Amino acid sequence: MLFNSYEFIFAFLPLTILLVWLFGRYASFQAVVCVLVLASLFFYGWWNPAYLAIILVSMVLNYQLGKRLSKKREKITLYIGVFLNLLSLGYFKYTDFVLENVNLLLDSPLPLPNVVLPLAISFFTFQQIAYLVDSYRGETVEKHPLDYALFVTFFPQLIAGPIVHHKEMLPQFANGHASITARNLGLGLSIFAMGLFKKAVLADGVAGYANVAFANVDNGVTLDFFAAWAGALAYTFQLYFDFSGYSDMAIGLARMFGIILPLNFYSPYKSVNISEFWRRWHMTLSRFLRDYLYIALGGNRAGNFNRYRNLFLTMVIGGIWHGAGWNFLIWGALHGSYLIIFHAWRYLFPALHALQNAWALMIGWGVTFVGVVVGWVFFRAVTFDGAITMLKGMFGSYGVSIPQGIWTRLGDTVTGFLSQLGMTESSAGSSAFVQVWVWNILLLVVVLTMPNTQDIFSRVAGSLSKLSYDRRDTFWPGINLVSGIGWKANTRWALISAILFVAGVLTLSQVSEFLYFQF
Amino acid sequence: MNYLTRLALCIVLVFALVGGFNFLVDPYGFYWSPALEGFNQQKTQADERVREVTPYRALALQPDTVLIGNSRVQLGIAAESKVLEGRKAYNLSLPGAGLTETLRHALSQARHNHNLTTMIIALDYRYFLHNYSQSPGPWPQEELLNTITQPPESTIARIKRIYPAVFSLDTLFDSVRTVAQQGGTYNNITRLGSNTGGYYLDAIKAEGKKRFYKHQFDGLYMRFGRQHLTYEANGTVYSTDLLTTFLDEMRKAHPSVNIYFFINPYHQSYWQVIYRSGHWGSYLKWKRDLARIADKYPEYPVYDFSLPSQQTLEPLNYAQDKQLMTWYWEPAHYRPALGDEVLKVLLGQATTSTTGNWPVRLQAHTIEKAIKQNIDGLSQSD
Repeated sequence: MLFNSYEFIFAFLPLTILLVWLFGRYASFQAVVCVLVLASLFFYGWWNPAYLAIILVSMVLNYQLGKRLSKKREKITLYIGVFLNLLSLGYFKYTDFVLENVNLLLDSPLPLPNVVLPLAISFFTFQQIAYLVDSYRGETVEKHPLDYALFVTFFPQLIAGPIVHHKEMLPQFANGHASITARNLGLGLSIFAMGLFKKAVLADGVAGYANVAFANVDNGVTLDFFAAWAGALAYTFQLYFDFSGYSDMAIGLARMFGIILPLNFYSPYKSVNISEFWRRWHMTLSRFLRDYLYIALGGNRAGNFNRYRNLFLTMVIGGIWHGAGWNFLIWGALHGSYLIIFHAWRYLFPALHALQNAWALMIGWGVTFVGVVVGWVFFRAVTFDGAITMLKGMFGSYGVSIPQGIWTRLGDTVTGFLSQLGMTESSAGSSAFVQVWVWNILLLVVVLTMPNTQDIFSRVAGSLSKLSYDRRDTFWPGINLVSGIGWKANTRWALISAILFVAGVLTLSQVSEFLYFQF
Repeated sequence: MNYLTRLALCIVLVFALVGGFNFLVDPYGFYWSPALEGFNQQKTQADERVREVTPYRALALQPDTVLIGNSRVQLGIAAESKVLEGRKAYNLSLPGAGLTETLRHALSQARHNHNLTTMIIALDYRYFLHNYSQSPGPWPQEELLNTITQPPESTIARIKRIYPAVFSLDTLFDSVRTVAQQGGTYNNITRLGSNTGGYYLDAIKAEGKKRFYKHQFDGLYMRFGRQHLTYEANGTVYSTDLLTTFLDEMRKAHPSVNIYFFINPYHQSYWQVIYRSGHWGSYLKWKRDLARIADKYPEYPVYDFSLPSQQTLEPLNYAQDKQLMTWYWEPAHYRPALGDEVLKVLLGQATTSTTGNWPVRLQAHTIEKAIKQNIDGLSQSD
């Protein structure tokens, strides 16, 4: 069941809200938790009821292991727990990939089992590994099994995050935060509306252009400079609005039940360096990788070389977490390299790094943004050759051309000049060319100048984060014009939220898919 | 009033406003609201949903005469033509419609349109071709007969179809575009299903014929040049079986419906495309096969308008780069003026004695004459 679907918005959600309200009013708080767990399992089982067995087994096993670790801090129990989690993730996610690569070395290839990846396994596995590690460290205490079940399955964050941490969720469940009130519903629905708009209108609106461009390069078709950049940028914006829109919807949905989720995106495309980008992109994954991988590897405790090595390894593993494929590994390695270069730059040229004038910020933003877009090419392309073809197009290897329909309207003087620059006319459709560039420019303006959902709802604690109009290490043109914008429970915001909500609902009859579901 | 109530009221209000606006503008030409000049009369976005709206309109209007084909007929024959005066005609042509889709709509009309007396169906060589290396062919004869025997649309199905045309963001954008484009030169699907061809006027004005036609020729050569695209597979023709299945069904179940088949009046430059793409031999064989079928079903005449004539031999006249041709929008699409000439012959308002040797009714005793005209015409063409 997608968040942006009729069955979710007009059946599952209202019914769940009604049941939680009824049980909250006429029964115990534990009954409310029970209703939420059952609703979440129903939500999860909607795709494929067979997946329910996997999540239930995983939940029971990890709960029991965590319980044991809370009582006895045995390393062996922790290792077994982490191993079993990684084994299940590895089996479902990487078996075919490993066998495909092994088969390249064999004369008679092994048959592929074609393992189907259960939905959300990457997310709930990480959440539970963190729970086990913290149980071992003595940072958790035994919880009621229902609270634990809700921590793992709570439907707003179950499928694609934010990756919640037991420390921030279990206390909310235990203290009876989950309740239906008019204020929570109004606030949650407003946040949900913003996420729905970002996902259904913006991400899905630009998705078609990205899909066509990447399908072309994956099938060996070359793209000229403008077509390649148009496709890469379209995907850059699609991914951001898709995933951050989903996260906003999750935060809004949880808020309808009185639960506050952690922030997952904070305007990453405003970042002026790659380190800041990773502080703002998929923040709950970055937090997990930092706390449970980078620091476990040694972090920055043993000199620059080890720090760089740990950074690189963390990013490569982060890349592979996103999917079983060489392109994801390359994407992770690329970002690991970016981070190493950035830290080296900061170490070698502290004075240059400290520059905060507009030009320095703009250059920093430009370099970071281009680097991120180049990374997304590997992330999105199905084949390595496709990614290389796209990049070659972006670097002008297949020429620079403008569709005939536009070229002829530019007049002889302009086209003569453009020809001298080496540009040519192409047979590509001019209306598609105009549309994709209008989309890209519009979305670039939005990500650079507009406040994000967190900024708008920070006064009313939209998420667990305290960030609000934070401009540290960002390029944010026109911040003074927008910095006063903040949600209030008034008619103006009701109308804005209604417009966003209705715009999102009006797209429900169109085809849609969340990109992060595949991870 | 608390925030939640205000939000709920605003959602209802915005939803109603969008739906009301879309219903009023009716950008796809369902014609369920008044068409007002300067506001929504020109349905410039109707192309977007033409496959959904046109068959719906054809069934809703219950015309006595239906024009069926692909974009050539949609752009080339006006259902509003004076030649069709006295008839209640509708243009049920869909861009890119292949043989199966064309015959399916024709059969659907025969079964569900109680006023139907006449069907004018265009036959296009391109849609008898197939890439047989990948599949046995899109010629599911049983499916043709079975699909359209499904019961008429249920109320729920109707709501499901109509709802997105009113409550959809795409529709809202198309409504805004429709209002903004009134008076401009854009394609416009009329109340009777014909396309006014505004796009061609605009393109030729902006780009000139030479440049625009080159683009069109490139597209034609690309389509005809696709690998493995053939009329026959291992010496057997499969596509014509679909046509005879249709004719058998019409003869058996709907004998009172008059059907006139015609081969579109291809421009001389289009003959060259067929020839240079290596299809000329198959093209002539296709015509011979049609003549054989026409002999077997004499009550359903087949006219060949793709022969040399004053119209089909019209020069491209690149010297007048921004001037439209008299009979053609561009080499692949003819204009309603030529469509009128076609209608006159089909409906008996003109005979070949007044139009020269054009067209030829394909039959066993005329086919070789038509083939000779084709070959002679090719040698005369540019």
